[in-house]
Amino acid sequence: MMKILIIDDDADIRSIARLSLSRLGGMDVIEAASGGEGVRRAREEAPDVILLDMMMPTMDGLDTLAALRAQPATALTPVIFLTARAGEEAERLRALGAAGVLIKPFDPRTLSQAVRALVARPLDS
Amino acid sequence: VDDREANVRLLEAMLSSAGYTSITSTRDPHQVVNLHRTHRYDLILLDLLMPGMDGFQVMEELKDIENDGYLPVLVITAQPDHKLRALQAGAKDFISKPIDLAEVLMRVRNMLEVRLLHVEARNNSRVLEQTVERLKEVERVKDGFLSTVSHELRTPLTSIRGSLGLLASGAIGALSDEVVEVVAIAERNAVRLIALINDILDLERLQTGTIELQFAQVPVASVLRRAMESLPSLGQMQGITVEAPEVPSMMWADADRIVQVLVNLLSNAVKFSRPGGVVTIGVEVREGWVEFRVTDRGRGVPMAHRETIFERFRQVETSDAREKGGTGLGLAICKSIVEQHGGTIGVESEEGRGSTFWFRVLTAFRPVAPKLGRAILVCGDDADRRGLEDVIRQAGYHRVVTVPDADAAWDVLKAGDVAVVMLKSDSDLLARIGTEPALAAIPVILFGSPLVVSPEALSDSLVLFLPERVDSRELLAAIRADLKRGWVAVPAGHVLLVEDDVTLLDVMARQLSAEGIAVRTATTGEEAIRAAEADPPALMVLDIGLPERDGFDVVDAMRQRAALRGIPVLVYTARDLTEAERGRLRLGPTRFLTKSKASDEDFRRLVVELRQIPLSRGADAVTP
Repeated sequence: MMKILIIDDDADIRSIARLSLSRLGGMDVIEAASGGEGVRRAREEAPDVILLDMMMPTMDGLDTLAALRAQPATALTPVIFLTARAGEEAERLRALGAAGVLIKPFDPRTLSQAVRALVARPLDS
Repeated sequence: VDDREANVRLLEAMLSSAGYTSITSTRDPHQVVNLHRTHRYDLILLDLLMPGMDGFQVMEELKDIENDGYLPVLVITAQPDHKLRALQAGAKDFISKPIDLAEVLMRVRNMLEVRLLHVEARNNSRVLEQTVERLKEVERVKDGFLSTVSHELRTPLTSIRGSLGLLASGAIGALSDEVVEVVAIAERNAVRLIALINDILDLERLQTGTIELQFAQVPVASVLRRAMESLPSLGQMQGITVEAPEVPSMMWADADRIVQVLVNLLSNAVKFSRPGGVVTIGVEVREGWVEFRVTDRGRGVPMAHRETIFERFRQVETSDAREKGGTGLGLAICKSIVEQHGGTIGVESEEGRGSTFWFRVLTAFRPVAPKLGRAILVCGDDADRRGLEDVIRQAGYHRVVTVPDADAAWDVLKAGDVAVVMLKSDSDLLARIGTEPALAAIPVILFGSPLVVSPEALSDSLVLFLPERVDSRELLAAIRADLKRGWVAVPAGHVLLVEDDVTLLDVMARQLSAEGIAVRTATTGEEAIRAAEADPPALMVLDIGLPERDGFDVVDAMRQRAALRGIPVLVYTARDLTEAERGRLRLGPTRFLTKSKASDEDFRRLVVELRQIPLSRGADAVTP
C-alpha cells in the first residue's frame, strides 16, 4: 500500500485529502500540520510520497523541501507541491526538484490518480 | 492706496457708507505688498501717480506674491493714456479722475462680484482635484482589496469544492438520486466561483505586471493546434464547427498565453453561434506582425459596446454571464495579454450577422517589445515635450512618464525602473545622472545643441542627440536603439562559464566579452559551485562532463542555496540528454544546446536572452 504524508496547515484540506487518498485511492495516509512536524514525521514514517502545501506560516513549502532534502532518510522521497498559484510557479517548483505540482482547488475524485501519475514518472534515469 | 490724505478719506467714507466694513488704507505705496501678503484683499483701489513708487511698480510687486493668478486691482487715474497701460499691467478695471462716486461704487461692486466668483471657482477646482485624487486612491485600494479577498476565498473554496466532490464520489456513503443532483449543483457553482476568482487574480497579475511572460519564437501552427485541441472541452458544441487554416510562419510570443487568448475568443464565438453554425479562424501574416481573426455568425456586438466590451464585467447583456457561462473577465484578460505582447486587439461586427475578434502580435523578437515596469521618462514642460508622449504611446510603449522639471525627473529615476530618459540638452539632469552609478547605464536622449553640454557630463553616459523639434520616425528609431543599448549596458551581472575544455572555454569567453558581457570561468564542478556561491552569476553556461563533480552535481548543489535556485542555466554539452536528465538539470529558466548541432550565433543569442531574465531569488519570489 502506498504510504503518503500530507503536510498542510489547513485541517479541513488535510481531511479532504486524507479521505480522498484513503477511501478513493487506497493509500495509507499520515498527516502533519506544519513543515517542522512534516519533516519529523517523514523521518519516522518513511512515506513513499509527500504532498506538501506551499503556503504555510513559519516554514513554507520551499523551506520544508530543503529540510526534507537535507536529512538522508527523506532526501530522495518524491515531493508533490500543493499550491494555489497556477502557471509559471509550477514550472519553477518542478525546476527545484519537485516530483510534481498540484493546483488548489483540486478535485478529490482524481487526486490519488494525479499523485500516482506524478510519482510513476521516473525523475532519475 | 493714494498718497493724498483727502482722496483716501473720501473713498473710505464713501465705501463705509455703502456698507463695506473691512477697509484698510495707506498713503505709502511701499506698504502695499506687505499689507496684501498679510490680509489678502479682495480688492485694491490703487492710485497710479504717487511719489517714490508709482502704481505700475506696485502692481509688478503684487504679481510676485501668490494671487491664484488673479490680481484684484482697480486703478484710479487722471491720465487717459494710463488706462490701457494699467489694464495691460494686470489691473482688472479703472476709474477716471476726477472720480464720480456712483461710478466708483458700481465698479467696486462689479469687481467684488467677479472676485467672489473667482474664489468660488478656485475652491471648486480644488475640491475637484481632491475628489479625483481620492477616487484614484479608492481605485488602488479596491484593486488591492479584490486581490486579497480573492486569495482569501480560495482556501475555503478548496475545502467546499473538495467536500462536495467527496460526497459526489460516493466515497463517504451512497446517496439518493436527489442528493446527487443537489450536490452536483453545489459543486458546479463552487467550480464557477473558483473560475471567477482565478480570472480576477489572473487579470490583476497581468495588469500589475507580476506575471513574467515566457517569450519564445513559436510556430503559429502549434498555437492554433493547441487552441483547437481544447475546444471539445468547451462543452456543448451543438454541432458548431471551427475551421482553422494552415499557417507556416512563426511568431514571438508566450505560447501558453496566446493559446489562452485564442481559446477565450473561440469559446465566446461558439457560445454566441447558432446550433450547426461555423466559426472561422483567419490568420494574416504581414511584415513584422501576425493577425489572428476569430469570426462567428452570431448576433454581433452592438456599436455602443465595441469599446467597452474589453473592460471588466462588460458583457453586452448582463444576463450573459449566467446564461452563457464565463466570468465576464475573459476579454479583459485577452486584452491584457495581447498588450503585454506589444500587440493590439479589437472587434469588427455587424449586428445580427456576426462578429470578428482580432488581435495582432509580433512575428519576431524586437527589443522594443514593451516591458511593463520599464518606463520611458520624458522631462520638460513645453509643448514639444508633451507632444512626445502621444507619439511614443501611439507607437505602443505603454509606460511613458512626463515630468515638468529636473527635480521631478530625479524623483522618478530614483524611485523607478526607467529604460530611457529624454530631456533638453541644457538641463542639469544629465550631470546629476552621471553622479549616480546606478543610473549611469540608462540611455539618455537629449534634445537641442550638444554644445551646451559639458564634456564631463557626457563621459560616462549613453547619450544620443536629437534636434529640438524631432519628427516621430526619428524619435522612435532613437528609442528603439536606446532600449536595445540599455539592455546590453545595464549591469546585468556576469556569466559563469563552466567548461573543462580550455580551448572551447577561451573561445566562448572571447565571444561573450566582445558583446560587452562580463565573464567568469570554472573548469571543474567544484570550482563552479564555489564561484557561484561567492558571487551569484546572472547566467551559468554549464557543461555536463566535468572533473570532480559533474554538471548534475553542480545543479543539485546550487538548488540547496536560496540565492542560487533561480539562476538561469544554459546547458551546453556534446551529450544527447534524455527528458529525465533534462529535468534534473533545471535550475532557473533552463535551455539546452547540443555542441555539435548549435551554431555560434545560437549560443550567443541564448546567452543574451537568458541573461536578461530578471533573477527571482529563492523563497522571496514565491511568497505572495
